[in-house]
Amino acid sequence: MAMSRNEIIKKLAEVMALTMPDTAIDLANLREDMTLVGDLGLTSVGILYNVIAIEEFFNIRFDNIGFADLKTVGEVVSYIEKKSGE
Amino acid sequence: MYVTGAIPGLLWLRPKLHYPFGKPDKKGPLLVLANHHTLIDPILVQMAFPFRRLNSIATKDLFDTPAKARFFTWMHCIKIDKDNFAISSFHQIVDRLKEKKLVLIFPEGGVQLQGDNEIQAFKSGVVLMAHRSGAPVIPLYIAKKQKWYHRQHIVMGQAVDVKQLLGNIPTVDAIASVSKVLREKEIELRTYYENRG
Repeated sequence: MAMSRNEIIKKLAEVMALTMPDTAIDLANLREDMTLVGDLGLTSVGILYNVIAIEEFFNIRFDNIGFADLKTVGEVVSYIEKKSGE
Repeated sequence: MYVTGAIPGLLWLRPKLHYPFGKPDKKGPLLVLANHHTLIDPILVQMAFPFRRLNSIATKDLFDTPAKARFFTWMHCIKIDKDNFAISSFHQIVDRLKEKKLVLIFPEGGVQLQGDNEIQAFKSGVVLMAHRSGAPVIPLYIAKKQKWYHRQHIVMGQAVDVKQLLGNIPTVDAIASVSKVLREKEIELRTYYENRG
């Protein structure tokens, strides 16, 4: 059964807790409008690492998409939703 | 058909390889990180690995016509878009390393044509590539030639096992700190070259 957007956000928070254990961000309150760079403080390698972790966690592959296409948590959630449904 | 820069390079540049910390194993998967100050650097790196085929990273501008795209693909270049780095490019690099190939990356993110001998900060993505593939990293320092007729000096460091440094699930901060370690290895090679007798 496909996951809801809220379930995806919860799992995203779990992934980010693993990759960024020392973050000051309250991952329990991760929202779709949060930006990856501005609000979550992710660097380019941070985005890349999280994408790889997401791929393993959700068993999907990020094809044909670049960093510039992933600006907010909501865009990441939409991509996961789309790929999980394929 | 194999096309490499090794033969013209050997004749014209007369490379002199230095191994200050011992000669690393040049077989199997290798992620070679080198400084980049001339457009012929891939040929110079080829001279340091004459029996290996290089898989280099090339910006998408080099693929802007069908003829150029065919040529650089034939040369085993991996296309990257610096303005919008595609995750698939990362996978392509890791896949080639997993296929036991040699991948050359200039970790400063571009050619440093101007300025002094300074080595810029490394892009941390290279650490992730090494970690995901398990390939050892070999730092390489390409010395600047003062005169055109001087020999080309290349200094090669020992292999670094990034996976051993980071463990299985590294943090983003740890990845960034290993990229600093790799840059320091490169600076060590430059220091060796500048202070050699």
